[in-house]
Amino acid sequence: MVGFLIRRILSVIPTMFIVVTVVFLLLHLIPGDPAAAMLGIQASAEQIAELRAQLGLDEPIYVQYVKYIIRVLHGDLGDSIFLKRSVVLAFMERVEPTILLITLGLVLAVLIGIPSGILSAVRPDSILDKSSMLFALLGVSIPTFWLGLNLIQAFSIQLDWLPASGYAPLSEGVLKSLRSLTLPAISLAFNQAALFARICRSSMLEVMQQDYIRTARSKGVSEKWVILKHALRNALLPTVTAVGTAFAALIGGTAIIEMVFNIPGAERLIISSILRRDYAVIQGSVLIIAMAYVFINLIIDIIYGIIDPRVTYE
Amino acid sequence: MSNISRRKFLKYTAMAGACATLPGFPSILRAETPKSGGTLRVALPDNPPTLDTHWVTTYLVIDAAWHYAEPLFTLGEKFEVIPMLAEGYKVSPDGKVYTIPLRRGVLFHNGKEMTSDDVVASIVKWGGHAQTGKQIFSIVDAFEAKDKYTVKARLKVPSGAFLSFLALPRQMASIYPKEVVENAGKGEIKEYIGTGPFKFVEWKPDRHIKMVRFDKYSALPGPAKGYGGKKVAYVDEILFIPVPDVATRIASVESGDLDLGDWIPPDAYDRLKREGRIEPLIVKPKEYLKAVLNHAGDGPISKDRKVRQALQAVIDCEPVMLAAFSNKNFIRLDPGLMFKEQAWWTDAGAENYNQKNPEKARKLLKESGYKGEPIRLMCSQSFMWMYNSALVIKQQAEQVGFKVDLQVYDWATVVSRRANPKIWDIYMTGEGFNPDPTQVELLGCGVGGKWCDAKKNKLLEELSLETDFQKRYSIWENLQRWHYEDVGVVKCGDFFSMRIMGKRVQGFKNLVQPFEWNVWLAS
Repeated sequence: MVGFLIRRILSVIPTMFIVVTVVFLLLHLIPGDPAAAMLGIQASAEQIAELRAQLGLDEPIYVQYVKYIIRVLHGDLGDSIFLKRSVVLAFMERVEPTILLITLGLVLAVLIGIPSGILSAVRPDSILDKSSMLFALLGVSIPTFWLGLNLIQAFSIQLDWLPASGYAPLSEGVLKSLRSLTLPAISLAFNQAALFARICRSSMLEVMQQDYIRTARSKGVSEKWVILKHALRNALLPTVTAVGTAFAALIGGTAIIEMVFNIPGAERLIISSILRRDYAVIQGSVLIIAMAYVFINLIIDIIYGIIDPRVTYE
Repeated sequence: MSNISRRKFLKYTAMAGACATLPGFPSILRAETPKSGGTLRVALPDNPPTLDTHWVTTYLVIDAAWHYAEPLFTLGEKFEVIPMLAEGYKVSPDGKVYTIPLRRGVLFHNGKEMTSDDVVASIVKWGGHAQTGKQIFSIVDAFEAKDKYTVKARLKVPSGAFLSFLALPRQMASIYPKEVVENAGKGEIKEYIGTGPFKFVEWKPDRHIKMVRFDKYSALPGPAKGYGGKKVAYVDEILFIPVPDVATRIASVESGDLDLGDWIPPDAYDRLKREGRIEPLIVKPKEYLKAVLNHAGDGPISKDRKVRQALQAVIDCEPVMLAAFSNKNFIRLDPGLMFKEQAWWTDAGAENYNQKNPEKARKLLKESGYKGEPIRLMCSQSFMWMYNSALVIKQQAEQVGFKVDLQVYDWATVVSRRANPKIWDIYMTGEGFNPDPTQVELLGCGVGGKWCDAKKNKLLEELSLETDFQKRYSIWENLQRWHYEDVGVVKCGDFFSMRIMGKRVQGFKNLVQPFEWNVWLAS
């Protein structure tokens, strides 16, 4: 176990190096100039050249790269040229809504998706099963931004129940914060719930055909007990993995929701920084997200081994 | 005349009064008495890069910053120059010395009184950094304090445009405390302290910029005038909230989460007008669409006036403008290089505008030395109106024999490429609002590819040196006429933008640049 952990942690180093290099090269090779983006449409070429020199963007690309790598090795991800603060601070200021949004979205998705999957599997081909799978089909087919805009139209503009945009931080009260995240979380959850329902249904159907389920039934165990005690526990394994993977994937995948609902989260920071060519923020944020992704996958691997004793760390 | 009893009269007026308080009643007819209080939430299309008005040209800065900072002069109802922090001004008979007395008792938000030391420090910094500041400071010999409440500008040559540069909202010449200017050194201002009706509180990027009422604000007496006159901070605080997504900006104002939103695409106008939930406002004047021609390259556009004239002759402006802005309410075909709403407007040279004459274009092209060389037309999809208009211009130009190579980049790339006149011939962009014709960007010289014709330069110099308006206007007419003969750029047409306003917003003046002083919130 310890050896496994050390190997996994060491393997992060080359992964991070590749991430840093690819992101740096991609950013500097695509056309566009942060100085021009920052100064606006009316800026003269002289002003742009002046700002480029101030920002060190007039240096050769390899010099900029070496300087950046040295800074990263010293734990300095640089400063945002636009936000005028360190990348780490800028990112940390925006982590709260993103993490809360993902958590709330996944909780909703689990609460909707797993029971739907179980009910479908228990009554295959019933109206319940067909409705549940229709919902799942809609969930994976409807674009998140489209759903978000329609939720705003219905619940914010027509019914005036929930805010259309913005985020209330936890410091302003948990309920207010949750209220501001309700519609974005539903938009996020719809797609994930559909995915979980489909996975849960298929694994439940598979487990329900197993010999030990037939044995339990022949021994006179009640159907409720068969489903909850014998079938569900085993069928949940792939679903749990899917939830963990979804959490890791969503760390880099809430950008559209944050844009549609105007949530000042970490993903919106990256999108805005790409448009502004704020190199330090893009590089730093991608690095942090890549690290989080690797870390969460490591935790999933460990948990998987704990849940299923057949998994070894060799 | 029909008779009406006193009782009926009272009944109907009471009913009308009650109706007028209903939320659905048009706000323009509600005519509430101004009242203080509340939080006004204004959507910005993005975070501004700074709140130092001297620093960058983007209008996003002014949208928020001119609530806390003020200039010496500003623009009135007809975009004329009016005093703001200045008491007035006197010009010497030779037109070279401007003496500007300052208003007394004007306090900065840090409690210090504004004096000539603050004004000199601020204006000298602006003159050394801002694009417009540098332009006018090229003729300023000295800008100095005469006494505690008077400053003096000595010019190398007379200038009729000097004050309009000090009044220009773009890269506004705001007055900051001297210490703030000194602390900034050569960089941008870090402490946002001004004399405006609102004072800066906090800036949380992507979340909001917060300003609150400055209780010790020294308001001018008399009525509000354009961007100046009497300013009153009715609302307790303003939150400027960046909302980059247009659909979200509209939905947030519709739902009442936000009160004002700017830069809304015209295609939403008809729906918003029909539904009546919020008020869509057309902002005019705003900008005009122009195809900038390269005058310093080695292609046919640069070398041969007849090629430029041929291009100007073939352009049919209406389809170009409709492709770019889609709604007729938001475009205007007009030859003026200054807007129709301004005293400077003239139609001199109009016979060469919007000619839509392919025959003439073919003839001119035949007489020119054009041999089918590709004309490199740059545009950007960062602003779809630039791209859409370029597509129509390409199509129109090709029908008379031009060979157009359409090059699509993001805006940042267009900006970096346009600095090199050897790699392009035309690019699409907009010309913003300018109070004085000497500030019109297309007349400027010095940056890659700009129109630096000798006759234009001479007329522009005459225009700069002259101080009498009538004489200046006559020079401006000649200059615009010459522009259409030599074809400095191809002007396509004026375009307007849309902003949206929630029903509880009262007293908002819909001028080119939005401002929220004198605005109050309905019950």
